[in-house]
Amino acid sequence: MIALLVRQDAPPVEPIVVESRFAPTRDAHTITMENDMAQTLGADEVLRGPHILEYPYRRSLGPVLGRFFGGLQEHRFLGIRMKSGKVLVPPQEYDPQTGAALDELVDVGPGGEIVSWSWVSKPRPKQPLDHPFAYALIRLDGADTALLHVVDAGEEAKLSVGARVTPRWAAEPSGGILDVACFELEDGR
Amino acid sequence: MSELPTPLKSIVTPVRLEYDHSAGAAATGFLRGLKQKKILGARTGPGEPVLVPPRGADPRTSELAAELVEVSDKGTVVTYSVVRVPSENIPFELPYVCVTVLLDGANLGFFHVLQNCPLDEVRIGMRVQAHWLPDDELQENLASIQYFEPIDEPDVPFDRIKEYA
Amino acid sequence: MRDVAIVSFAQSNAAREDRNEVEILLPVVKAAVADSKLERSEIGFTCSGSSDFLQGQPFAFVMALDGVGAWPPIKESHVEMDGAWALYEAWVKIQTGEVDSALVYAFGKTSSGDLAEVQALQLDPYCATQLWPDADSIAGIQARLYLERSGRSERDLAEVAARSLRDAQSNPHAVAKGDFDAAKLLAEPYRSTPLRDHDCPANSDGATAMVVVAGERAKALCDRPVWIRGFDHRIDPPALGARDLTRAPSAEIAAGRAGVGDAAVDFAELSAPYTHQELILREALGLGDEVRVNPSGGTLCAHTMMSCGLNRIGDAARRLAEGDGDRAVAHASQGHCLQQNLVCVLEGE
Repeated sequence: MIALLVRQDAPPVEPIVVESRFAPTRDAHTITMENDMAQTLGADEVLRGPHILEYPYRRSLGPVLGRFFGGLQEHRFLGIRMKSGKVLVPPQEYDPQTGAALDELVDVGPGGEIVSWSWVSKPRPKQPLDHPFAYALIRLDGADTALLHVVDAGEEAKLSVGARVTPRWAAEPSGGILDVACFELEDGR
Repeated sequence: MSELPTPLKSIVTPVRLEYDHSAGAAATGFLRGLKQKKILGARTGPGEPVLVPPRGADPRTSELAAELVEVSDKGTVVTYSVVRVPSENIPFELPYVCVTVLLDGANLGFFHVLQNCPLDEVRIGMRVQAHWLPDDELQENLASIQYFEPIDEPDVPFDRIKEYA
Repeated sequence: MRDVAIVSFAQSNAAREDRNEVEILLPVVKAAVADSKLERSEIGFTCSGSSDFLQGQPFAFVMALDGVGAWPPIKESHVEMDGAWALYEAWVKIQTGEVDSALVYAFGKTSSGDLAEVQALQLDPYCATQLWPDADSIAGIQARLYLERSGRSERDLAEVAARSLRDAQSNPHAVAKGDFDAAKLLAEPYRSTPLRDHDCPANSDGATAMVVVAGERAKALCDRPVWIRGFDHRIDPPALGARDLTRAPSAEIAAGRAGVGDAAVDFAELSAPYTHQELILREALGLGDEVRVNPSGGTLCAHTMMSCGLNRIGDAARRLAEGDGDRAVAHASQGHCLQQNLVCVLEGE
């Protein structure tokens, strides 16, 4: 048998509290920290630490999205025509209703109108703009479906359903949906 | 209808998520132990198998394994693998050897890296010991153990460790 | 069709847990198995729901098996979905006759990361994710469209919130609760227009476990088994701009297939993380104003992602088991804007 060197239980160590990087989430209501399952493991202070998960994905586009993102670099928006005659934006390879393969790409926009929006008063670091803006569904001229993007309106009061917007193209496109930096209200309204 | 745009072949769509990870009670005990230059396992009770690193529960029975027990930093290699494939963030020169070490006092193999041993001398049953960071550099993480290395003790016959291989 | 009954259910929710997922799950699974009166070894199948992205580790769910006991080897499966879908898989497995009972569990710690950011990964990776829209903003886009189409008001949404928070006071597992006046709630600032804090879910960490048993055996194991009489789930296309966000067609279809309208419904537990989504679901499921919705407070008051849907089924089952009604509808959803919906019709013995 292997000599089992089972020493006596580890002497207690000094509890070390690690400051958390994130403040506990929220919130305006009364929150009761309900936890009806007793903490049975009994550690004094549990260690916490930042954990980063990062994936540098490079995605191949195929014939349909390849043209769409190629189009953005040429300051063009492309949609795809479904069998019903309606134009899908962004284009998809297959009709979401019937499953039929699609291949008739058509130009749409570049202007369009706001279908709906939500105002972001405190942008998160990864979000496209660092001052308040709106995420919006925008139906480009000639399209029958709306594109999700961002409207740099300055203030929410300027937004309305049906308001006309035009794209602001990225100064240095790198490939992707942010080759459109954002949309802005036409005539700076 | 004008010509279609020149197609792009691919786009980069990076994803980066930041988590505030809680180690949980079991791992906290283990990590604190490393800072004290101890390797701690856990068991459900006296006489029960000691699991290293502690997992909170015994995976066979889902019973709480809350009793922390110190095990030796010396052990026996129960299996190993020679790694020749490069990867980011690996501080070791290729080829290097990954080992599962049955630490004295534990009932579960401990996964780590072997250094200071010529490839043709790596063998199941050899005795090894942890090489720690200097005392003043010990941290609450596994980097406190830099690697395992051979020690001058007789090999353990395979029969005695084959259950853990 | 084999009759399948829920014989036990246990849940745990907290605004923020220091325990890790296994530690949270262990007592919950133990309670559900103990309450089922079955031996762990008698349970034929184990199925779980969780999301690796909540924990930030691939195959994270494998570690949870430590808390479940997987020796000798068990028949086990996992879905990257809310536990309600794990229950569906378990129910299907029982229908095949391969097993007669199942342990279903789910867990999630929403507090580990920024949930709103993590949920952006559910969007189209080419055209939408890289804009990093937070879940509240997307819900706001849907809410604006819904209010416009339906003629409902922000006041109606505040009423949903006030009622849910009030009802949650009698639910020890709810994380947000209290007596709030709808008018006062409306005075609060917006979070993501037109939604305010109270329109958005109270995120929480937790775990849930449930045991289901086929046939007559269920009657021997608990006082009042709760039978699954209808069970269906459907999904709508993901592109936000290509579907009518003011409706939930997949919920409507699932409700029809599950037979919601076949008889009177005493109450419903709907997993609507946002207030306006409860109203969309009422419409989709054909629930009249007289049907009580979310007596538990609902997902609005405890959004333990990956188990909140299963909690709706469990909360409904518990209420029926206690005799507070005979027939209930439980619902779970996944994806932004009620993209995917599951409907479960329950009847007490």
